[in-house]
Amino acid sequence: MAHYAMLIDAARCTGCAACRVACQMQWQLPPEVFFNRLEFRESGKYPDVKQEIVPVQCMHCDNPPCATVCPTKATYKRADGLVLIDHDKCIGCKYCVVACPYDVRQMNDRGIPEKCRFCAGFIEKGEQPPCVSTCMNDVRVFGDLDDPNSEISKKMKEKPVYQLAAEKGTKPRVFYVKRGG
Amino acid sequence: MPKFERWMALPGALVLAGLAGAVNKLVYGEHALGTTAAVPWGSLIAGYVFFAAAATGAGLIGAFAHYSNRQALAPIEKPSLFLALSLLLAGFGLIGIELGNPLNLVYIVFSPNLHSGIWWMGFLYSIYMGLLMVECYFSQVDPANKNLKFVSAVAVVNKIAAVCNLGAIFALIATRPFWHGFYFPLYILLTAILSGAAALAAAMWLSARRQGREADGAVMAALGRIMLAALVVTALANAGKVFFGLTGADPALREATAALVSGPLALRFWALEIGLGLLVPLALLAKAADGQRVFRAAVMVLIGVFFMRLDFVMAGQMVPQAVVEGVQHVLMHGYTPTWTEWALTGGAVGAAALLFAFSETVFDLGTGATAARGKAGGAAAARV
Repeated sequence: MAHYAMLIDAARCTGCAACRVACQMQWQLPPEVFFNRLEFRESGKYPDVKQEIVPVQCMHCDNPPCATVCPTKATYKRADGLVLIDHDKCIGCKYCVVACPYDVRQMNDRGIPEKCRFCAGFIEKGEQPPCVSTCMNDVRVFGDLDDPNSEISKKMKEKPVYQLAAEKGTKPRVFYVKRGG
Repeated sequence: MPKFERWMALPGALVLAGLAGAVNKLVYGEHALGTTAAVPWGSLIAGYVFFAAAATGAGLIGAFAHYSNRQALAPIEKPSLFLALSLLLAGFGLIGIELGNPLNLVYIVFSPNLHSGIWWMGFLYSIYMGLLMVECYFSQVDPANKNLKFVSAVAVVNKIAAVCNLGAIFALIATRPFWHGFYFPLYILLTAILSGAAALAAAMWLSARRQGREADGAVMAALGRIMLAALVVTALANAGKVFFGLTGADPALREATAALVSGPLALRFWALEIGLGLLVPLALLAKAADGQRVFRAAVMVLIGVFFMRLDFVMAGQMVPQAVVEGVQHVLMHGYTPTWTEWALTGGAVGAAALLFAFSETVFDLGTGATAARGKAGGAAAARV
């Protein structure tokens, strides 16, 4: 069984937002709905200032609070690591939106929460998510952590990584390359 | 059959406004609400909590009247059941429209997640509604029936579990420090009693006025004392919440508390929640309480508690979450209820009032019988 994850090397991101647009095209999302976003972190004092760009999306947590709070199991975790939403089961209570520590859930026109799906359906055919394949700087690497020969497995051995808000105990499956690592 | 009375024009108009809001919500979905992905819960959730908690509080006070054998409280035994049912149905209507697609609620049964507080809320409040209906039935068939005592005892456990779970829905969300912790389940139980007593006092006073007589002085005095006690404890609980919120170690908790006491929510918090909903009723009830005074205090408490619920729901969501360390966000997420949300909330108030008036007309709630006791109520008040 595959166990999918994503590695993000934020230091390579130029902030072009092609990942966001590619995702919106893939899933035919309206302009105001997006499954990934860029956060801009400024540090230092003039004239020694710098800006870092950090892509943020659903972390497909191994301990997803969104699934824990869902009253109908509409949000569920698959054995391959993907956290998905069964739209038919969703009652629209938005408890998952409130419970997500990463603020990545969006609402669609039908009042159903939406979020990154790790491109379920496409990745099983061997395709890469468009946020990965569109990126001109190879910021993101997507793959199977159970396969030691996958690109993501190799890169995660090469570089130290961290997770966002790891202290919340959600065990995210999106990893970030440490700066200077 | 119930006939149209002049006073019904106001709740009737509120219900019509609510229906317009419901149609707008069903047609335009989330666009009809002021909520966003950053602030997903708005005034409809706050309104539901208000009605569900008030229904539970009214039911608990009714149960207290039932088991305590206090003569002054005896006249509220039956009305408390029907009022609780009216409030609960209004709350269910509100949450049903907020959900948008109530048909999907079928998955609550077929795909239950027992880890979810909202699942337990649906379960416990559905049971509560069923028990209320059974209690209402027994109250009509034979008030002295042992079945009623048994059902009432079960219902008390159910009521406490339901309202504490309602608080736990918020309290178990670790990502929202303003809500998180053991505090809110107890706080909502306390304020449920406060709003339940206020709803009962308002209903009993209006019921008497509807019949062209003065409200039973003993009943109003007893409800005034319950409100007074609950107000004092609520004031202390609020002071504690603000103190520990502002001095706590969690920056998000400090920011949320500051939003409440000196930020975007401050005017509403101090003017409506604390001033109108707490201090003025405290001052009114601290003096010897006549029916009119208790009624005025009750109305103010109800308005204050509604804004208490709204402020609580808002303060928990306004502070942006620190996802990426060091990123500077907007200072606060904004939210303004739309006309649809106000219309729906007003509609729920009107519906609860009309439902209670309807049940009072159709069933024997004993509210007419209190007139015969007349001025004897004053003597009964001394025994409370």
